[in-house]
Amino acid sequence: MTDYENVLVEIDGPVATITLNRPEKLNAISGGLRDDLEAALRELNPGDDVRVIRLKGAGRAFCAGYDLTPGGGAMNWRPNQRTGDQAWELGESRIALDRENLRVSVDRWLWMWGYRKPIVAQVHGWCLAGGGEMIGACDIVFASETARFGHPAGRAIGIPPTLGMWPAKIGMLKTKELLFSGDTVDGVEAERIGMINRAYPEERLDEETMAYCQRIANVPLDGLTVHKHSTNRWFELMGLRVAASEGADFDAIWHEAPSIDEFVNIGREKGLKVALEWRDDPFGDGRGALKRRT
Amino acid sequence: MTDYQNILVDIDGPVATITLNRPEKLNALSEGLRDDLASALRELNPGDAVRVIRINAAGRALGQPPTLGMWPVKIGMLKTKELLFSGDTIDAVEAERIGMINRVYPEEQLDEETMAWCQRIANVPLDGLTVHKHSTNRWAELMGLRMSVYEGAEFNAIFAETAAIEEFGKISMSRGFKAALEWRDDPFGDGRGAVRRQA
Repeated sequence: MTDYENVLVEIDGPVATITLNRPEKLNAISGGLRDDLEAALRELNPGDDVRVIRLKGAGRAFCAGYDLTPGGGAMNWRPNQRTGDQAWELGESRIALDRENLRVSVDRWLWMWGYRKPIVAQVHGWCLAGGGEMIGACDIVFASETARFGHPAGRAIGIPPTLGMWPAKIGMLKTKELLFSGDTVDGVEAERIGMINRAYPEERLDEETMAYCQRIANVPLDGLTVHKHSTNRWFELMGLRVAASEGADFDAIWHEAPSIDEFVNIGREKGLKVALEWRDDPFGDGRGALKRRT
Repeated sequence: MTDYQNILVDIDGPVATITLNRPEKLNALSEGLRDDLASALRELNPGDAVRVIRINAAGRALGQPPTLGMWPVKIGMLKTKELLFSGDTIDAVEAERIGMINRVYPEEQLDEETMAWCQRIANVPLDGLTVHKHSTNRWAELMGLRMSVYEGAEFNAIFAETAAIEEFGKISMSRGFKAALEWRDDPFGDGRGAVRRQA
């Protein structure tokens, strides 16, 4: 295997474990991390020696979302370039360029969703925003009971364009409940509402996830692929791919709102942390209150 | 009612009970059984004297474990893949929890509770029950349910071309069906799909 800067790959029999490895950034999705993840998946695609991919995160969190820090590379808005006075020389609108970036991002998640080998996510700690999109593109999700899922960025910044496949997984009511508030749920609640397959005590998570991966690796790869793609097809026929693509359009519309200009301005002047405080303080919580019924 | 070889039909007021009757084969879905089931349903279709059909089974089991069936719309994407990838089974309590079945009862109450519910909904006129049923079905059909079921045939045909199926057939032919099942299930360390249920 190639050495990657942002992910680690370890092969144990038929199971390849890909570990997101930017722990100092809570594995925020930079351009580089995404490139490395996809390159590793492509490298692991040929042959059937490896039949199952396990995806986890190094450090305190699975993935805190897209890397919004300058140079993070998650957002690539190019400035408009006016080159003359004719209509076609005035440069493209921000919304068109933004939408194109988002469309590319959605297509990349859908490529992962269609990958032929099962991808099993092992989630601990934060799994927010883009992290939710990442597990949305996985087939199976095991998490620690204390893992935290949600989209606090929805309070001021935008939607996760694929919505993490929430409408297909947790339904209409819970999708809106979580999007409107930006609140998070823990692993126990995430299991209850169908966002993940199973929640385990954190100390057992690694072992249980690996045991499941090794177990299903007893099924030949061509069979696993039929299981995966025949299930996927149901949701594709329900419109999943088109709906996910439309997420890019909706997100681009949101990005024209004054709230995102304000967020970006505060972030530029006073830093990302202050911008996050501006966004979250009215909700009286750190980064999305834990909503869980007792 | 016609006498059928593979099923029994018993009419109790507005509820007709069809009992799958190949207990020695655990009511495995043979062609004859499917033909008989379809014929009985056709025979019970006209009129509204019978308004509800109950299907149960003689002996130890109701049919073989279903394949993909309509799992995606009932239990969702995650649980469908979890069960398909592993081939593991779940018990009825877990099946109720994940939405694969409506309700679970202690076995000794099952017959009575099911019949009571059938008699209860038979208080609704048949044309009303049909509207309830088809308007709900239509939601799933508009989500692609019928096309998805057809595509299941294609995927199954692809699966049938895999080396594992060929090997399964060879073992079954040379050493018997039981040996083939052992070859399939032994790596998983269980009889015919371990019961997976979270405590």
